[in-house]
Amino acid sequence: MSAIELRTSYEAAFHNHVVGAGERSLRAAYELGREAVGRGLSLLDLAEVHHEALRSEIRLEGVDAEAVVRAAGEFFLESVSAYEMVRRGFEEASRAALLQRSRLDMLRQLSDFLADTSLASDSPESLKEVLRLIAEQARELIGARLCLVTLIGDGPPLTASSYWAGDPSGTNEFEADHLSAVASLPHVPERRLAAALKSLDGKELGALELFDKEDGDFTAVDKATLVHISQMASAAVERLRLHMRGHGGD
Amino acid sequence: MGDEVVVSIRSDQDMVEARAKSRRLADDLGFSRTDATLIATAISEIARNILVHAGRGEISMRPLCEDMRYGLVVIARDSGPGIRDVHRAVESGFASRGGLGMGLPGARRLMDEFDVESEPGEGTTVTMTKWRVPDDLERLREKRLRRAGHPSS
Repeated sequence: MSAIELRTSYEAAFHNHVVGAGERSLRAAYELGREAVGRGLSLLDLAEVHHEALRSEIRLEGVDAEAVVRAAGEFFLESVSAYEMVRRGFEEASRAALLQRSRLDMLRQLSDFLADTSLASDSPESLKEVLRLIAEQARELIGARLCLVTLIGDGPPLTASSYWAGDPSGTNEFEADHLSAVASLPHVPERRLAAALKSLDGKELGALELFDKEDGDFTAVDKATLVHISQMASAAVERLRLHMRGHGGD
Repeated sequence: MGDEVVVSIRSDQDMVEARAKSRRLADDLGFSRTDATLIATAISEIARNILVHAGRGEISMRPLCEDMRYGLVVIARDSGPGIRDVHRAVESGFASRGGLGMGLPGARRLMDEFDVESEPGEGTTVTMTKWRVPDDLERLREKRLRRAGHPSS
């Protein structure tokens, strides 16, 4: 439907509404708006068409101007409702794109940090610090209440965690609380998301676990993000361990 | 407030009837003209879906009254082919056929609550609700009416 065709159809439908307002004529307005959206006509085009239709109607002899204006309001509201539907969709898509961009920024930051050569310290504390940062970033990126990172090796497992207790002053820093928080969480599969940490030769290094998503259940996008983080974390851990072995640490 | 209203959806004319009845119900519940239009639009999208994909079905509407809010619940049922991937059908829009976010995703965005139950070959049930929160003056009036009706409380 071109703008001219829309104008002709709109004027006729609007006239029908003025002479016999009812759900049938309101539905016609809605269908015209829907058609206009589908054809890529802008809201400005529709407003212009509406204005012209109103002007034509007002010019008719013996017309009750107030009744026409009232009918015009009803008719216009129906015709723009399809635009409202699309506007809300666009808003939703924009929010999703913004979230995606923010996640990408955080992933890039994490990747830069893990690739930083200053991490190559001989101290086991350095490894613990890296794990803590991974836990914090993974929890924040995916919006979970708790993240646990566990490394297994020759000795006892090494763990780090990040826990959000809902306190606006910041994350809870006490690891003992984190572990008791795990115990208190409902053990349903939908509330837990995990990815393995693996070396380049496929050997298991440990795991990255998230618990209790802040809003709703974990999604496929969350799963993909966690796998991505676990791959970056695995590479960083492996590199650090190699470095520490080379310098007599670990 | 009236009882449940049911409209069989078999043709375009039934869509008009469903829209008209939703508007009347929305008006009874004190919804604004804008909200009544959004409800009618969501019903049109759902009714269109029934006609296109199932050929026939029904739409029922009923008022809801809670302590702090009024609602209009719309339930659309059909026995059509059903939806294979409900999540995708409800969440997508811009990437799907038509590409403008109308249909099921469009209806979802116009309402406050939206749920779809469907299995391939088992038909589809869409439940959607629009809420209205009464203003302070309305609440005061209702409180007085309740007191007048129940002097002992």
